[in-house]
Amino acid sequence: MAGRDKLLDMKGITKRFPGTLALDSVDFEVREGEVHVLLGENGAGKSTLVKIIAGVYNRDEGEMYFDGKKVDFRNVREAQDAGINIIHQELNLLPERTIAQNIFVGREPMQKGLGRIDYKKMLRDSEELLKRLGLDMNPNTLVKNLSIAQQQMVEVAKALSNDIKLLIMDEPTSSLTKREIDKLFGIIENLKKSGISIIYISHRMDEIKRIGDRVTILRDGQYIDTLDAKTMDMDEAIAKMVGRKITKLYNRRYNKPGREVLRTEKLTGLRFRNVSINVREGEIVSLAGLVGAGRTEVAKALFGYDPIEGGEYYLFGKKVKNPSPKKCVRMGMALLPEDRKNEGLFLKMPIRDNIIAASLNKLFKNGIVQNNTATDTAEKYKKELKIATPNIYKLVGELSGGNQQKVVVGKWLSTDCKFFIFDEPTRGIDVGAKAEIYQLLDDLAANGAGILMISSEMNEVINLSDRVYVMREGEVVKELDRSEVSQEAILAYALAEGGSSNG
Amino acid sequence: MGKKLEFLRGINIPGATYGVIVLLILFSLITNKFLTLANIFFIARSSSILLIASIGMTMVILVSQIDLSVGSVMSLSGVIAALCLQNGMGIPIAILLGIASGIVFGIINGIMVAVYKFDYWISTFATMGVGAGLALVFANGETIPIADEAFGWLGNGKLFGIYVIIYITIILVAIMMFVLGKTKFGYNIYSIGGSEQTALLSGIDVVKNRVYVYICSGLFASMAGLLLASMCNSASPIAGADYSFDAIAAVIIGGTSFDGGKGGLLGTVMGTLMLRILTSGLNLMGFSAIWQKAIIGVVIVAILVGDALNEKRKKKNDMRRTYAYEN
Amino acid sequence: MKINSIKFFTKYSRCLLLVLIVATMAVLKPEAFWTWENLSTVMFQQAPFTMLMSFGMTLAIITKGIDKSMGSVLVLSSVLCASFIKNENYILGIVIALLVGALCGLANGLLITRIGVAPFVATYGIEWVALGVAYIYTGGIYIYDFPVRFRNIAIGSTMGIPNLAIVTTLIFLVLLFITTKTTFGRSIYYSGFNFNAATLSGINAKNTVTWVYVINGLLAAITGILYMARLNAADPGISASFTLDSIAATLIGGTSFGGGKGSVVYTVIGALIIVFIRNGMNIMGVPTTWQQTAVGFVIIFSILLEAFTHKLTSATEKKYAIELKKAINA
Repeated sequence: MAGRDKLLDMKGITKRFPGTLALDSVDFEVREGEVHVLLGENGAGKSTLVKIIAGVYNRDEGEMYFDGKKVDFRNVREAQDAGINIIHQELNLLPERTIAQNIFVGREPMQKGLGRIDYKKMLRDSEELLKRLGLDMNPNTLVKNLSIAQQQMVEVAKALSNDIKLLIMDEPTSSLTKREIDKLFGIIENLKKSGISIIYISHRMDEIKRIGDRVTILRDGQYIDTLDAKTMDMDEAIAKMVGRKITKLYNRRYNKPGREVLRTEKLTGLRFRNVSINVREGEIVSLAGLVGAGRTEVAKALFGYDPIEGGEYYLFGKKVKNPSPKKCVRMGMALLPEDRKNEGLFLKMPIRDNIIAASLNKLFKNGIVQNNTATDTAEKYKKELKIATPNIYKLVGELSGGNQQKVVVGKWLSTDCKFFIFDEPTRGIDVGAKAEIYQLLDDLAANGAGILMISSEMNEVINLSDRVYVMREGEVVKELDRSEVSQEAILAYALAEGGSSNG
Repeated sequence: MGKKLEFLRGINIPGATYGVIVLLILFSLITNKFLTLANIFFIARSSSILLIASIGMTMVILVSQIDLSVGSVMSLSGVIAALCLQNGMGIPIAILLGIASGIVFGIINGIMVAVYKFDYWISTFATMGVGAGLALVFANGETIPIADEAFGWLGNGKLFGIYVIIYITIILVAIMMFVLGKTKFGYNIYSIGGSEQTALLSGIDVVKNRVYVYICSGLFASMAGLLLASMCNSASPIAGADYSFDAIAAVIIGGTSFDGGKGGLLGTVMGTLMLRILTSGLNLMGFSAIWQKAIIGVVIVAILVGDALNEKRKKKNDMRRTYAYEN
Repeated sequence: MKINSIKFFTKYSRCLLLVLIVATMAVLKPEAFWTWENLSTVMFQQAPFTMLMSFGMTLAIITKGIDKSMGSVLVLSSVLCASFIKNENYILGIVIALLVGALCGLANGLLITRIGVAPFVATYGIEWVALGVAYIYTGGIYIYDFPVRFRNIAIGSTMGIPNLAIVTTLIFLVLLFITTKTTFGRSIYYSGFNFNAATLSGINAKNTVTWVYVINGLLAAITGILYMARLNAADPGISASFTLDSIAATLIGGTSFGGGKGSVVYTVIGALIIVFIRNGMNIMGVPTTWQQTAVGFVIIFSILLEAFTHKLTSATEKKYAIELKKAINA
């Protein structure tokens, strides 16, 4: 059974990143030998919290006690030496090396003299570790020849290879089959028995109940509550995850939808399949779901940037063959990417150049750039969007997040397009600018544009959308009408019901 | 995964080996002048120089970088040694200074690329230029003759019927294979090349190791340069000009990937042999030097293109979502 | 404000440097250097070639690439058209040369944008292929003795101004126009600053970059024709120091290796700097061998200079990355 002693105790942890408060005075504690689940929406702060525990980030405020002592890990090594290991969602393995070499990377045991590596010892120790985990794998196998599940096990073995007391697992089961998950849970049980504590981040409710002892819920960087996993009521948990927020940021005037702007039929790409959605003039349709569900990939495929492997789609009623971004822009489509800085803007170029970047052909039909037109266009949108800058020659990289997004919007407005895909439109933007962006979305829709919005912020999705498609693990699992949309409903479909429900 | 494969683990046969075998068979069939003892020795000797120079290059490419200055360092070290001998400074000093020049260049490259994080193409391109320039300057634009017989013995002498240079090469390759495969430094190289992020998170001092790698590159380049000068009994300031590219080609043909962390010296050995066998075979078939260069150039480019396409395909597959199936 | 002052510094510091070099030479060796004969030779006979090649290199560097093949494309195109020119088939000869240049450039562009080979590697490969073909075609012998009418392009003058200067100026103006006033030219800059963002803004960045290399090929071919006219020979052995010099000219002129920033205007000054450095060294009796090293140092110096001015302007963005790095480093 889970011990009573506190292994990890964190009080008042606060962490700021430029533009956001990631963690706001969070308290968190883990007991010896327990599996403590961290639950919360995207952006709730789970990842940030565990990265602070593992030494990847430094905290701004608060105190941390580990194993009875006050600690202040300045880097990953120090946390590792203290006995804390983290298994990230993206595995950190060397594919061309053997299991043994991966387990002991950076800490290889040496033989006497000549700086020789004691590979035999590595093999022996690896075999022991693997056996301890109940795994039948030859430590001489190259990691690239293992399945994802097996690779994950190697990561677990790696984490156990030094004296570990606390193991953090971030979404370990997202690529595993039911049988593999059973195996993993068996291992976790064994770890518990040997007194190791585990912080487990997951969205899968049944797993949480099955493997967890306690569940801590975070929301918007704040600590909400800690519940007992076995007796927890799912609805209650979801309610705590989303909270009851009513804001006056939204002023959506719902319009009667016009003609079809987008229609996809069983669209399949590298990370999504059989997606069939549509958007009409005047509508704001949202793609909701967890990070990794495949929403951004759909957007990029629609824009012709990523390959499409199956299915078809129509823009303004015309079938799109051999899509490319240039073609899509010509057809009247716009994509405002999630990674604004690297994919949406030219940070080292002035505002003016950014704003005309997508409309070069439209503004200058004969290919000759007229500086006056460029300047006028830029000034027009600077005023219209209220971009806060002394002049349009300032480099975009110096603007705040909100203003940068406005520049991106300006870029697309100058192309006179009628179908917009906004991917995380208000990420990293303060409240004031958010309101302006929401107003803008509303205006665009009211003027006859169709908008496909990808967002992880529930409030946005709920208060702005005509309809919501919920995506989960690459597929659209539900379409919700405005009347059906609620935070609970979306989450219920976004969270996996258990194991893998596909195939 | 039985015991049989476990045994083979240490002996990873690079794909280039088959290329070598095919070429050997092909050329011996096409021309009877190919499979003579004299020719085999010739191939072995000319491979030696390239191979030694490519040892360092292998290490650099393993950590996903490149060293364009290898050729210039070769020229420079030969010139420096020749000048020393000309001024009566004795072989030990000549060799020492020659090797020192390689190490110095390695340090400069390492600092620019690893510490200051300059682009490695540009940085090593610059040092390549400087090295070539210095070589020309020191040599006054002329080839410096080397009269010292003892020095010449290194490149031309025989021991028990086999050229000394071949022994040297075998020893160096064996040592470095050991280093790469069984020492911490070697492991670090593969770790950094495999995934710099993982290496960092595992506490490996990536910067320090990268500098060491560049130092090794300069070191082996200088050794190759010295042996080349010995073999030619003269030091030409442009002796090493082609070797940078040839070394890169030898390494990549041999299967060491730019991606990093994959491949090794055995592959480079095969890649070097392939290049030199190609040269010899084409030569014996009557192609002029220019034709040889052109053909080999095309072959190399073709392989590089094939490599690039392969990487694209792999990346695409990696991006794919795997839909788990019920077992 | 800070950015503007650095741009100011960049533009005028290069001019200052040029003036400094010229002044130094004038003081040191007035009889040899500061004569109309010398200066005009340098400016109107030598500078044009370096400049034309450097323009091409500048375009490539703006797109975050490099073109190592220009020297051999120059050779190949001139060698292949030589016999036509000798037989006074001028139009045909020029067309052939341009075609060859464009094809080589296209090969470069496709290798880089469609197959994903690094620009350095791709252009190196084409360099060898082009040179190889040139040698095979000529058998190593150079063709010489061209008709005077043809040679006039390079050695003659029109209304007192050397033809070379006219041609170079024309080409410069065309390139300037393209890069500053056309949408294609703007897309070169967008592609260089941020290839992905350019693509995602509807710019066909792949095609743009490909076209840049095609233009380079054309420039190399044009330079080849002019060079052939000036030297009165089509010699496969002279791909010479063009690559090194044009990279140096581009960088010292102020174009950044990081992509996006740069201009053919900068390169004019840069080319003059390089050409005068060489001229100065020639006059002072510095062997051509040292000159190579000197140019190499110019490149290193430019890189360092850019790195430091870069450090001055992007301090804040690094903070985020630094924290993560610090946390990870042992």
